[in-house]
Amino acid sequence: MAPKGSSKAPKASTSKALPPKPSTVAPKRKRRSQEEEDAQNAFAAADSLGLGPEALAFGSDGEDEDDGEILDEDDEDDAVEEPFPELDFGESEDGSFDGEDGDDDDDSEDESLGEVDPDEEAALLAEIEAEDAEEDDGSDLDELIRRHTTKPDEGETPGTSWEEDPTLPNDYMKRSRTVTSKITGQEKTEWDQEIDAGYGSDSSTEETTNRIGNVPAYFYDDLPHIGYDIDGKKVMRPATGDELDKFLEGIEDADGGWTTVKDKLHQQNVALTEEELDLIHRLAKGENPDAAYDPYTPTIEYFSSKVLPTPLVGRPEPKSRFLPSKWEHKKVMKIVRAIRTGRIVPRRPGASSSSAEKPPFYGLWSQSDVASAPHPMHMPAPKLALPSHNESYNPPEEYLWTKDEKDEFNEREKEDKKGQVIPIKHSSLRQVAAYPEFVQERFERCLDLYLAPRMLRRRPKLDIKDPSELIPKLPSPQDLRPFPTTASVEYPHPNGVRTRCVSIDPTGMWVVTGAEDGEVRLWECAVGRCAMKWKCGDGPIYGVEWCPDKERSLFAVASSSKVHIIAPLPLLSEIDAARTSQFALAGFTSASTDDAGNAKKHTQPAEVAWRKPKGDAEREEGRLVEIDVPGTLKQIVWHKRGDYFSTVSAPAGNRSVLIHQLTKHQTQAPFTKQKGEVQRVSFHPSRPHFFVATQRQIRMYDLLKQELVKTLNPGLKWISSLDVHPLGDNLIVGSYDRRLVWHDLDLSSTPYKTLRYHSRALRQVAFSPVYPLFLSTSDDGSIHIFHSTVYSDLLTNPLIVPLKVLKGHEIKDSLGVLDAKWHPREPWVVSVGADGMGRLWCT
Amino acid sequence: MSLTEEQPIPSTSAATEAPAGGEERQLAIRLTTKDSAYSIPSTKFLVPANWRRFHLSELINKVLENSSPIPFDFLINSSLLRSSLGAYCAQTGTSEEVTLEIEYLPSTLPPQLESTLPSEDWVSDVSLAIRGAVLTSSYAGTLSLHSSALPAPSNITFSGHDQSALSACYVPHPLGAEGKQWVASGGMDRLGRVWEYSTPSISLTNPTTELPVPTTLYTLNLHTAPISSVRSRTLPLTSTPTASPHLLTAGWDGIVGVWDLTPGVNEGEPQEDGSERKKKRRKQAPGTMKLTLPLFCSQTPVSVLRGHTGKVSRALFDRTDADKAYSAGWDHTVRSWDLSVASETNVKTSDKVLLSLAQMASPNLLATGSTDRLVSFWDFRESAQNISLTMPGHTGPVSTVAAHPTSPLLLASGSYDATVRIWDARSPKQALFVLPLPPKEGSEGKGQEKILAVDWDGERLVAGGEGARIVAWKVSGAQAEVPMVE
Repeated sequence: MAPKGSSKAPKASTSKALPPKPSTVAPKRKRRSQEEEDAQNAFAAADSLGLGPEALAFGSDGEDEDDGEILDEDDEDDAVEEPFPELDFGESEDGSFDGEDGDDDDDSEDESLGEVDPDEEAALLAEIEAEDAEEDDGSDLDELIRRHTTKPDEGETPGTSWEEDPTLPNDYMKRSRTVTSKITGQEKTEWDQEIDAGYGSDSSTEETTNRIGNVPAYFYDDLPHIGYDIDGKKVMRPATGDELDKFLEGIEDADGGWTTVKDKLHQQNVALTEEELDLIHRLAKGENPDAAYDPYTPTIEYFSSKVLPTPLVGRPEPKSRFLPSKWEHKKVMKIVRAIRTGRIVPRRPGASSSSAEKPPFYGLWSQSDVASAPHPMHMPAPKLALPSHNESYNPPEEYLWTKDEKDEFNEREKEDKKGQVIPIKHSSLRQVAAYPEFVQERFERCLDLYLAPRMLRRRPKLDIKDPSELIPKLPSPQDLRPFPTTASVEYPHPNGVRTRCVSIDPTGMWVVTGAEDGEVRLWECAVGRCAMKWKCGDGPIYGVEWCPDKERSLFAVASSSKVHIIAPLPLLSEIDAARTSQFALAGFTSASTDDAGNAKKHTQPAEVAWRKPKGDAEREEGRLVEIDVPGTLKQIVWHKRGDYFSTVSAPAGNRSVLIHQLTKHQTQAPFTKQKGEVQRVSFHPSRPHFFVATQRQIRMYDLLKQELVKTLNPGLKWISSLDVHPLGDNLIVGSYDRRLVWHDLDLSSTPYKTLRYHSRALRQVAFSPVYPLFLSTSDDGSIHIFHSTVYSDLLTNPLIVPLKVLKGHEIKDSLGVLDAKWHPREPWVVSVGADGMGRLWCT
Repeated sequence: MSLTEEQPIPSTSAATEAPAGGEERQLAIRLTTKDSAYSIPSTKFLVPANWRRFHLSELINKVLENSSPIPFDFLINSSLLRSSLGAYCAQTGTSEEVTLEIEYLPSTLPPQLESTLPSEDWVSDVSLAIRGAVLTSSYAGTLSLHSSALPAPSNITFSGHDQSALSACYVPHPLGAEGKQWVASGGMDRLGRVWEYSTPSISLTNPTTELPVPTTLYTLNLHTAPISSVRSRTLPLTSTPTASPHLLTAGWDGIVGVWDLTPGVNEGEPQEDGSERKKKRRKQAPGTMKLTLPLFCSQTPVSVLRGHTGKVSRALFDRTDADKAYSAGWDHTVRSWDLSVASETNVKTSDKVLLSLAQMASPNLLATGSTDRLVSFWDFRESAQNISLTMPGHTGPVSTVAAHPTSPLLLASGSYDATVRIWDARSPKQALFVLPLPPKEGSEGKGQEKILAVDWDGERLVAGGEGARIVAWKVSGAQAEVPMVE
């Protein structure tokens, strides 16, 4: 066995990148040239920061980290294989390497380094010491590095120990000589003994002659050689002895052959060295395999309470050390604010803590029978199905199963049987056996409750998926034509005098309007020309109404406390004029005869007087009759036949509603006592019924039987207008509180529908006499047109469709459209408003 | 920038007017006409997109090699071209790739406001049947005749109606007497009147001729309600002795009276020649007797046409067929009558309240105006549908329509929206011209001035109404077209 140091020396010289070795730390520093100034500075900085020894060690070989890794792997191999190549091939290998040119270069480099050594080393060391002033620490570091990088057996070789460092150069010098190179003619240093590269040197060159690598050795079992060397030559199988030789070898060995192992690669027996045996022993004992390792070395306190003259870390003090925390402040202020607003009630200082107030013990079951208030997220368990007759202990006979049914049930799979039991009849409950599935079912129920996710389904009050579904399906207005859409003709009143009322004659050719200046004007319907006018007092005219009888062309005008019966005589043919005036004036003669004969069948109210107009001129222009009535007139309405008409006047007590008969010039006050102020009256279109609307109620009277038939409660605050459907079964009511109410007289006394479309008070409502239309006028200046189909079928409710909003009237003094009437033949509307304009709305 | 394809067109002035930029878009058009006098070979043209009516018109004149250019109007998809072709395509979304089918017709030049005549009151009817004279009836109850041929005030006033006169027309003189002219009128007083006045012989030597005083010849006493329409047969252009003075009166009471005013026929006091006749006749009111002069005698109708259930707004004779008459009324119907047997031959209904009626120059085609703001054409051939064409555009009820005397497709309509519109039946979506009434001096646009009467004789168009004035336009460009023969 050759000495280890000598065998390793040539390897170190050949290796290009020397890994750091403890003994070469100082020379390494020296070898740093000028171009590596930056790296050196970084190194120095790392030193000055007091980085740990590991950091230093890694920093030094940072550039060839990969090599380091390979090294580690090789180290393990070395532990076992290092000795063997030295045995046989050490010399030859060394020689081969020596002859290479590269060796010369390296040597010369080393040599040049060696020349500058003494000066530079001293200068560098001085510089570093001046900068760092931590010589002691540096030595500590070096020792640390050494301890962690030396191989266990190196500690024994005195030549490489740190303590002998000063002698190292001398030793080197002894082993070297200076010769003149034969090639260059320069002087060069020659080493008579190779320098040991040490443990950390590149072990890849450590010789294994057989270079077959990791190939299993039995591949070569049948061959005369066992592999190939580095030159590709066969390595022949060494001769092996037979069993006797083995036995003899075992005897020859001191320890009986136990320390010999077989090297499969080289097919040789190798005896373990003492160190290797020691290593194996240590591993077997579970100790640190490194014999030199001392687990009890004193620790070096790098980071301690001791203030060092130079800081280990040069970071400036963070601000958080001396600035109050903003977030803590916020948190505290949040609590402070909560305390101020009372959200947190702090415990009073000195008061006992709340835990102390709690009773030390509480009854675990004391509340168990009291139903606790349901938790907001409480989810009741789903209910089990109640037992049926099947599960009864004594089911009726018809519930018992036949044998076939039982067999069929028993043949089923367990899953299909779930929840079903075979009904068994017991004579008494006492005989019922224990239910075998009880525990299993309870367990499954618990599993269901525990594992199956449950969701609290809150049932909404209105389950509306699509709000548009709530809107009733109405036909399109386009399908419901004709209805009025545009203002076609205007009837402008002079000075824009407020016009209160309007009426169209039964033939549809003339329009009459009553204005607040006391004038009644007659207009040609389709042209809009004022044909005639009459002055009826000075006060406003609240009502004007054509007699519905087509044969007689006359109308009644309600001026303050007088009813005027007027016929446009000049516009009538002679026969019509004669008939009309005869009809209107006939009552005078009959009344006079009554007076003369003292046989007055009817006593009319004292305040009412029927008179002829005074002058002939007035008679010429068509004034036929004047009637004095108590109070201020508000409304005139004709009976369908055109003989009776009714008036409403305001402060007249029980005389507020009067019914006049034109042919006989008679007036009666049908109500002796009036409940509330009458707003409107209306005749029923076909039956002898009479509607009286007070502020909140509508009463329907039978005129023949003289009795109250019905009271309607439309739910309005102040009724303004009223109209009866031409068929007589429905009624619409408009109110000053912006609502329109549809009453079905066959239904209850409450409204069928309440429509609230207008933004201001309603003034007039009216049904079209020929078309299924009705209108409502309002102070918001608009007229609303509705379609209304009334079915003869009693089961079908009337159909009401809003069709059109007619806008055009201006709002004046917060009054809008004051009156509107339907044309008797066409789907037209004539309206008058506070702006003094009458309008004809056509299709 | 000239036209391509096999129709090489010499460079016209229109073509030179087009911008010289070669990048201008080109449109393919095909020009057609229904007027054989102006037809050109059916060829596809490529014209610049910025061409307007004028350019196309020039093009046709070039093709026709007309010495004097005739203006044309162009219809694309039955609407008039009023902008450039490219603008039309952009507006209607028509692809510029397809060939535009353009129909052209001789243009009617825009009417020009001619004069304004004052009237006593609202004008209810106007007639231009005699050239150079305007006969109007007014709501004041008077008729007036404006004529430049008349001496100084150039105005004859017929006063005699108690109330508003609602209609007036000329009646052909039965004897063809020179210098005499008959006029019929009706009004609110339910009495028709036939007037005679002498047309003064224009003598330059005696300019101070006194105005002729019209006299009432007959009273027509039939209607129990105001007379809404009085119409006679179309006046012959030259007064021939054979012209029969027939008259149609229509009233609010829904009856149409047919009158023969030939002297000696149905004349005089009650003629007891039938119970029906007797029923129809009405005694005269004492008031009327008082007011009118006893010079005239009342007339009885030849026949009475009953059928309408509402006011009859207009009744008129057929232009060609002597035994045919038409009437329209508020009962939504247009009826045709056979006068020889006094019976209804055809009824066509609608949903409109018809305010006026006119017969187009082509037979069997009637035009009405209604309250729903539409002008409608009615084809009176038996199998045809009720309303063949509606022309929307007016914003108020169409109170009056007047057909062009010769052109079968031109129509003027007056409405409550204070405009007169001239329509071509080929362009129903859009009126040819919209003539707003000139602003009335003194009044600051106080509402709309309703037009109640329109008439035109092909050259002049007059309209009157609420404004108590008669506005006349000169429709000079209207070509005297050959009436279409069936």
